[in-house]
Amino acid sequence: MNSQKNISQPVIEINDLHKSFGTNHVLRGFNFTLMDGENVAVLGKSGSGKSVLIKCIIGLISIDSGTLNVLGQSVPDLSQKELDIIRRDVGFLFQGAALYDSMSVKENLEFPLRRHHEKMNGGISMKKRVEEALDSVGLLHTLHLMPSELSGGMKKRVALARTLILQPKIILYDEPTGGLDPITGREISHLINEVQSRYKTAALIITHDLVCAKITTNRIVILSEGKNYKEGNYEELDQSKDSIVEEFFRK
Amino acid sequence: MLKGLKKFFITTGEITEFSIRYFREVLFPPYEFQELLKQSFLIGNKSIALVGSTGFIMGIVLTLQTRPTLVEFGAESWMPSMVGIAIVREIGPVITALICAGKVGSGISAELASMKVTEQIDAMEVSGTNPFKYLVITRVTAATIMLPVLVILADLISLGGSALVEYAKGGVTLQLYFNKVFDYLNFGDLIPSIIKSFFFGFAIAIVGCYKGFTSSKGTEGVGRTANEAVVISSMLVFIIDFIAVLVSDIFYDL
Ligand SMILES: Nc1ncnc2c1ncn2[C@@H]1O[C@H](COP(=O)(O)OP(=O)(O)OP(=O)(O)O)[C@@H](O)[C@H]1O
Ligand SMILES: [Mg+2]
Repeated sequence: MNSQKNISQPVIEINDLHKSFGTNHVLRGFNFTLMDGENVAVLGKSGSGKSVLIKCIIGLISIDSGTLNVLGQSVPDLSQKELDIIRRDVGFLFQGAALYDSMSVKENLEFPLRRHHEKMNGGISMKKRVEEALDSVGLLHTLHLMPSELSGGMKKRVALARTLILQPKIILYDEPTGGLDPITGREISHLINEVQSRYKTAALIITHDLVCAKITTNRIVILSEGKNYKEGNYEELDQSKDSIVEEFFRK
Repeated sequence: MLKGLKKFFITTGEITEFSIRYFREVLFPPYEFQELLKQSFLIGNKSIALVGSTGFIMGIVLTLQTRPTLVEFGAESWMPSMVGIAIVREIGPVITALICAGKVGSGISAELASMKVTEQIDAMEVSGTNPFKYLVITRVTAATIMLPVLVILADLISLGGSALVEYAKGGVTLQLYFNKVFDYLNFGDLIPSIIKSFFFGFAIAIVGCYKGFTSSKGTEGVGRTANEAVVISSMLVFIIDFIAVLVSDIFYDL
């Protein structure tokens, strides 16, 4: 589990967040704070709005009401340019990996650097950076493969490398273990854990996989009916007699 | 019926909006030159064989079928100029555009739709690259540039096919044939057909991009999206052709 030593200030602050699509009220007053260096899981059923939540955080979906601050800035008020700057510090691991099909693994990893490498400090070459990121997920040998030649688990790893390459301050994971077998899922969870303690980033991990939540985080928030229904660490929630919480923890 | 009409107007409006966004963003940096080159190459490469062979066959067929009539009137010496006009003004551009609507338009919309569905477009946005610039502007610009090139190529190959028939049936040498064609053709034939080819290219790609970019139907919708793109852009090709003929009729007395 990641150490909590550099917890100091909040990097994500969400207050009374509302979002609906037509008559479908997905988020109805969600509150949440993520501290610097902290790893938190948000647990929720399929369709409960987990993906919507983190897409709001990164500014892919606009919010209806509430406040949403990332790294001290109010995301809904940012211009496209300011948003791009914030996004440089916020990594996003998509639910389906979202590797660019038409590009090789190498080109996939280089893509985020196209716009941002001039802002990166240190004269480390692009090649070095790509290899380092790929190495940290243990897939250096796939450098010249196409995404279609990778397995589901490998795709997730490459996507993680692509997220890491900009050395973000926060990483948002959308179901990192979703669609994988339990063993590969556990491998990915351990990898995330490793990466988190190496790069000291804050992480918000969206999942419905308890094992993943247990391995990677020290606090769990349960999202139900558009609200942060309950939160606590794994042991606390495991003891809970609440029916909704029990649903997740029932084996 | 009413619903269909409503949907038609909404789609028309949205495509117009999409085109306006293209013109608003195309002039401002960052420019994606590398991707533009790549897309231009892909568009040319993807359709050149089909455009070439179709053009060749059209040239042969057109000549074979009109030949008996002209011979009957003793006017077979008019063949090169007649076929030349038909090919350069109408058949070359329209056939090429229809092939590209089927090949390029459907390809673009299927590609973008599947990128949309698998969140690759979101991933681009998140990594600081404007997906509209990277995906749409490059493809639309590439198609707008490449279509006239393909049209000229189709024209030449088509005339070549026609010349072969003339050589086989009437003993007209290639040189004589092309001399006659170019004697008779003037800029009034060529320029409008090149200009309308630009519009064909633009329309095909913008419809393909619009359909792909706004697709939200999940993986099984990708095929349907591509299909709709082909239908809409083929229709647009004929509408543009009609307008182009009306307009060039004003500028040049046909
Ligand atoms: N762009 C959108 N337009 C309309 N409705 C949407 C949109 N995105 C999500 N929704 C709706 O919001 C709800 C929550 O979707 P979301 O993708 O956040 O679920 P999720 O919790 O991530 O589920 P899963 O575990 O299956 O990924 C769903 O009912 C979905 O239909
Ligand atoms: Mg989701």
